[in-house]
Amino acid sequence: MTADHGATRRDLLSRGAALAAGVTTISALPRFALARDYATRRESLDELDRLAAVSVLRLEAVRGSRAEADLLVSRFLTALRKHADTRGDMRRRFALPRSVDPALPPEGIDPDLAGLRQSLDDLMIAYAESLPVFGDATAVARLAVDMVEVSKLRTVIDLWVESETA
Amino acid sequence: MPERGGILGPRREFIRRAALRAGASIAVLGFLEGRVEALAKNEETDIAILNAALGLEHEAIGLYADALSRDLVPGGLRDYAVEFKGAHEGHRDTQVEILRERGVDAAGPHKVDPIREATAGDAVVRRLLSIEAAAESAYLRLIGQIRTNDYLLSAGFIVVDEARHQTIWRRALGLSIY
Repeated sequence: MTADHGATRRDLLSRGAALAAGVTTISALPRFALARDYATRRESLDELDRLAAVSVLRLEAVRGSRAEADLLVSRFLTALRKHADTRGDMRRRFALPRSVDPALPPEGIDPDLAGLRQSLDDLMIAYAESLPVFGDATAVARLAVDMVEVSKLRTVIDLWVESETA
Repeated sequence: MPERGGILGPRREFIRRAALRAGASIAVLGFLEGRVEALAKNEETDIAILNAALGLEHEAIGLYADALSRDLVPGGLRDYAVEFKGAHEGHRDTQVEILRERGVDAAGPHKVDPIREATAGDAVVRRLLSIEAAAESAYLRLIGQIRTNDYLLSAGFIVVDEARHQTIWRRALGLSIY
């Protein structure tokens, strides 16, 4: 990808503050103006690995506290493992070293759905923020597919929370 | 779903029609239809993709506006339809702004085929699902072809919204969501 000419993303969006305000807070778009810029592919992959590891921990915590969550958690974990494989492919494609073990939160993660939802949201946003740094159509297309799947996982958790509070 | 041999599946045909209405280029249409392997990485391609995506957003906004104004969204789902229409309007405005920044006048909304149904029900939700699925599919197909960072980033933030909308409508229809 090339550097943008003219106004920067933040210029564009700060000019159109009303634009973001018109979108519901559930939309991811308002966070576009505040998006993190990754300097390197490695930095973005390391962050994605770290956030995915947090989501896995949260999923395990939810499974440990809710027997009815077992099937759903298993499916989610399968998806996240597949995404980890994609990121591994990206490291090989760009000759990047394997990820170091991510620094994970201390023990005692609450098995709450809100925390799980937040961790999936963080992961989804990090995927979106990562796309520009890859500069490679195949990499972007593959990571975008995983990003969309994380968005769906997050929405499933939203619906679960809604059903519990209804 | 037959999509080879020149026979377009309903989703691709839907995307094609929406992109055509928005004045999408022949190259983008060819790419969406799978007849072109890759698009040239240049400013013209980004603008062509922006215009095609803008057409889909206009289509979605028109469809939601029609459903909401005629009270065709089933009870209990109206708030979602309002939310999703607002999200699509945000997507539209972002793309219009990016086009303006590049010195290009954005295409205005086109005439959207009204929803055939006269009463609220699953058929209306299926129609809303179809535009969300088409939008997600088009964005995922085109996203790797985007050259500029701002637009690529915005497309990422937009497509995760489309995925959310699609998941909600699938759940409402009792379809598998995961």
